[in-house]
Amino acid sequence: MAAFSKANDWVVNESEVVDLDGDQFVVALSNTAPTSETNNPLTDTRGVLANVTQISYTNLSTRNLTTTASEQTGGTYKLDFADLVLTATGGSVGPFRYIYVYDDTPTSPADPIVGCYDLVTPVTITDGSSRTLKFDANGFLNKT
Amino acid sequence: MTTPIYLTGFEHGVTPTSNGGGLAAFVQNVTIVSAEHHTGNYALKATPVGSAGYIRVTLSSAPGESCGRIYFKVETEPTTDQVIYDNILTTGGTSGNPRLYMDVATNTVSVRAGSTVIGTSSNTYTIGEWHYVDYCFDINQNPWTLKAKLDGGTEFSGTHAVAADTSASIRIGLTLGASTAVLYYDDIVITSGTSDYPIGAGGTELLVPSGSATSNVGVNTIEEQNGTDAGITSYAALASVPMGNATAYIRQATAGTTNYLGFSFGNISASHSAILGARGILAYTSATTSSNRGACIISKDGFSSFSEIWGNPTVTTDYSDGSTGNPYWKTAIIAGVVDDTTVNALEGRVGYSNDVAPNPYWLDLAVEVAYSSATNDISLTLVTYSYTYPAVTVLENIVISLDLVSYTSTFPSAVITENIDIALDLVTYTNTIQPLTLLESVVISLDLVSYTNGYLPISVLENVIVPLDLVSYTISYPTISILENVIVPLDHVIFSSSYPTLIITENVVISLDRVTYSSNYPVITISENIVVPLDLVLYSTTFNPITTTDSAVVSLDVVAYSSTINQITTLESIVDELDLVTYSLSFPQIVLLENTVVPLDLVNYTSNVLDITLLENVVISLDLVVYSSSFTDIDLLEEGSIALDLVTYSVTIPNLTILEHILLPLDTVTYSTSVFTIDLLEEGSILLDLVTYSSFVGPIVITENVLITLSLVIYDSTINDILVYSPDDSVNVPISRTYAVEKETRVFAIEDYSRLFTIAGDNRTFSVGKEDRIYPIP
Repeated sequence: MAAFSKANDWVVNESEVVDLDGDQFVVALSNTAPTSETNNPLTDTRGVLANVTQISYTNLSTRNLTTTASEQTGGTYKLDFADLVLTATGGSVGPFRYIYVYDDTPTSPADPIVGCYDLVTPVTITDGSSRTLKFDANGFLNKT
Repeated sequence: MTTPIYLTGFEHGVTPTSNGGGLAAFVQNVTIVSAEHHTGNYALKATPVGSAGYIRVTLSSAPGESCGRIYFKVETEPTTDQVIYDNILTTGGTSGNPRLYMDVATNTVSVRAGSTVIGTSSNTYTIGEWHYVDYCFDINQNPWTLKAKLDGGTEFSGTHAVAADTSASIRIGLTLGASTAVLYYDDIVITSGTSDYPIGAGGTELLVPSGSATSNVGVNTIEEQNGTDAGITSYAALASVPMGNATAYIRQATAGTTNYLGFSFGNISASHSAILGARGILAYTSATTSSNRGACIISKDGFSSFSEIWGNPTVTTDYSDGSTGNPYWKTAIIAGVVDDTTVNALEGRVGYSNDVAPNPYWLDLAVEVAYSSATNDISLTLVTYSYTYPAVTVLENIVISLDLVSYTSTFPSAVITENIDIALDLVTYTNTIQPLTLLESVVISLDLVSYTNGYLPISVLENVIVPLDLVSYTISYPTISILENVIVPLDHVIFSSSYPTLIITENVVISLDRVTYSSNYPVITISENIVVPLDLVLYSTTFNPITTTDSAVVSLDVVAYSSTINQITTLESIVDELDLVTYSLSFPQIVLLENTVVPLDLVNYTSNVLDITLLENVVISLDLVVYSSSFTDIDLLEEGSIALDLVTYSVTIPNLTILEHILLPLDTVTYSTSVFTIDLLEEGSILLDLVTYSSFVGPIVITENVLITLSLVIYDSTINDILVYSPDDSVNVPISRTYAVEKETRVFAIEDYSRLFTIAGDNRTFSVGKEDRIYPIP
């Protein structure tokens, strides 16, 4: 299972510019470790998509996430997305090792990052094949 | 997928050895590490220092077609291209082996026949990261077809014209001699044939014995290493990791081909999409190296079938290899392990020996399960985080004013603590508050505290000079304690409801100006230990015991009792003044004690008093004693110099004794009512200046033992007998008396004849000559 690292800036962006229920969340794919980026997007003041080296999305299907739940139970908030199927058509996509989730709606800052999944082993989606990003049974995000 | 012919994740945890051939056929310059691994806990580290670093493994079959998946991680690249994996041709020689190479100039992987490049990956590997290579070596014909993929990327392949061949063994590691390279290997799966290519991403999990299963251990037959007969927990002796632990194992001490220890393995827990296969690994030895027999089998179906790891119940094998310090190893692919059901049903059995001389030892037994995760699913972990809010403490260290605090709900505990000058102007509580503690450690003024609901204990503690201006309680309080330790004036305390216990304690100079009680109080205690003036104490209702105690100089100015009081004790030990004591009701017993110089200025009795004792031990002046009611007994005793200035008796006194032991002047004795017997006794020099009797007086005895001067005796009532005695004839008693007797018959002169008695009243004149008798003159 891919482990997740939260971007430091997310806690302030979530509080100040993000509408968890209404914004459009998107995945970004990268084969560069966050610590190898020029500006590590997981560290203070760098938590935006512009600091991520993305792979080419030519041949890749949509990366938009669809919100399926934004609710609280017993004081725990859950944000859930539908599983996302990434399909390569007309060529392969990748390799990518890191999957970022970011909010595409805010403009200041633009594209604040929630965090990054590390697949450990890079993945390449070959032409005509798919990869399904399966979110946990408890959702994408729980907050207390 | 077809059954693998080899698989490992190196999860046995030991550096491969050629002992028994189970782990490797050849080992050189490799170690097992745990710090680096792709999955599980261990990986193989190849460090070709001085010579090549690799292991050679003999395959269970020698296929001409094989495919496999190998995970590798480059820690240090070699300076030149290096073989990272190859198959050894059955025909011998290694120069033409189908191989996987690392191309250091481009960080790519190539598939080669010998050193001839057949194909090169378009994607690259990254130093310090795990990658996997899927390969397929079809050398079963001429030309060979060699193909591979790096990390599932674009296939790189080609053909190689060379005679058909097969591969009986593989080499994992850096095989081209000494190199500075350091590589790690993990999660290797090899199958025969080409249909499984590409195997894809995956991992390896180690399953160890985790529970008991059907066994037949016998007695003194299947034992733990210490000779104890094997039991339901003995499987744990076979579950050590790293494997080969010689301190806990299973042995067979008595031959018995039907005796064995059975156990189950743990269930697979790693996330996976498919099971590729399973391999049993056995570490074994014996007590000595003399030959013996034993068996070790693993089944996926309750032993309907089984795979032999080393010996089987029917055909046992020799376990007399190595020693506890140098174990031997056997491995075997377990047939039919294709899914979670078969994995989780795995059981093992060890024993079956028909030759236990020496005892065979089964040190550890485990199963490596190879799985695939090469599906379309990428499982993402749940993102969780929380916001915490630590305790909020509101501290005010400096002068703080709390203007208004309103509580509309129930508060189980409310603590308001103020350490410095703090003014609590208004505290309003509209609901029930159970313990309520107001602590003021410094000079704090509690201006107004209003309680409109019931409060259980209320403690108002003031340690310093704190004035309590107004405390109003409108509801019942079981216990109210008002404690003032220092000079604290309680100006006004109003209690309008019933209080079972009310204690007002003042330890220091405290003035209780006014205490008003309008309801019944069973017990009221007012204690003042030091100089405390009790100015006014009004009791308007009935009190049972009332004790007013003044230990020091205490002045009781006014004590007004308007109700019935059973017992009143007023004690004054020191110079006290009882200025005014007014009793308007009946008192069964009144004791007024004065031990020191105490003047009883006025004692007014308006009701019946049964017993009145006025005791004065020292110089006491009884200035005025007015008795307006009947007295049965009145004793006036004066032992010292006592002046009886005026004694007025307005009612009937049966007996009146006035005793004066010392120089006592009886200036005026007025009797206005009937007196049956009046004894005037003077033992010393006593002056009877005036004795006026206005009522009927029975016998009047006037006795003077010493020099007595009877100046005037006026009797205006009927006197039966008047006796005037002066026993000492030598006393020169002046004669100046006038006796006016209305109905008297005799008067006896007790002085000598030289006196002249003149009696007024009925105008009788008595003259005394030489005789000692006076005769009435009709």
